[in-house]
Amino acid sequence: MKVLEYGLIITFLSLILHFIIWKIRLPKRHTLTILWIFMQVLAIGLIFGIIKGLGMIELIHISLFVVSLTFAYIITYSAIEADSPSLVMIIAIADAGINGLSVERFHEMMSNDLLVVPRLNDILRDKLAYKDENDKYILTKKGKIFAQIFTNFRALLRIEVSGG
Amino acid sequence: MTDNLIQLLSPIIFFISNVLIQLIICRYQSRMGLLKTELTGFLSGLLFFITFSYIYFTDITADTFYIFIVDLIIYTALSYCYFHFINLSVTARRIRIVRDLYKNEEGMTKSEILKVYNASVMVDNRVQRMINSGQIIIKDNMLYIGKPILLLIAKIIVLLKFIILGSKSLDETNK
Repeated sequence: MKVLEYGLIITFLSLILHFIIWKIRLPKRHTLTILWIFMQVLAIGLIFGIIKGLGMIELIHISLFVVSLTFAYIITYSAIEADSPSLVMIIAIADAGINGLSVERFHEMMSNDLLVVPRLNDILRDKLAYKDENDKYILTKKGKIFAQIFTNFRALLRIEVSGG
Repeated sequence: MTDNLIQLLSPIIFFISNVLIQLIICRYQSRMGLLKTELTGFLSGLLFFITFSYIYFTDITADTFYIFIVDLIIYTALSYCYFHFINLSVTARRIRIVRDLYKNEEGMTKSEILKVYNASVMVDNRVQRMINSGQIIIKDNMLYIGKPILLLIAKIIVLLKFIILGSKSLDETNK
């Protein structure tokens, strides 16, 4: 019961703190800030648990509970943070109502500025790539590791479609 | 002590079994769609987890029940992360661009990137995926909503965006 209680309280307090901070000012690095908030509240919760006499395994169990929920929330948040093209598309079609949306009009609405350019900016912001003197996007070491992880994982799953 | 350790490790062990089952099915049963392999992996791991808990914890007390709930939440949350990790590797724009840059060590300009991956390519990829899954219908060159699931998810995301970010779009917020 204590693991569930502590886990839920820590998660809810983290969420409340996250909402309060977001209402005051949006941070530059959303994901990192969310991770920082959840881990700080978890650390405080664990200290409180030690004072209250919780055992080592219970503390690890609480940490696992909070960390798994934190990652699940961060992944969900990424869909909120960036405009998912599929969702933008589905809303555009829904807005057209029963008359439907012509394929030509649909292509006109889905521009590079809406769908691709913001993600190029994200890549620079997250330091996955930098622009050289010729205005070329070059992957950083972090970007190469990031690309390798997904390239290898796709090979493991035998995913052949180019994706995106 | 042993019971506590088993309770702690069981969601991780069954999550690993979920991943392994999904990977094996995906590699050796290529006709099954990716989504079905993910669902099969998740349900298999869940079934093993529930069966194990039922056999191992014969004496059901309030404490073992609450720990079961905690472990169920951990298992589901980890599986949810894995589900999104797979989907990201297929659909995410950032990952697609980074992979394109990885193939071109000397780098690419914005126009070169947009030549191989642009809104038109993306729209074609996604429209085809949504038609295949029945989310949209195409008739006489007109697009209509099919199954309402993705539309419902889209509306929830827009609502969450409004609650958390105070806008319909972050790109809108950043302007």
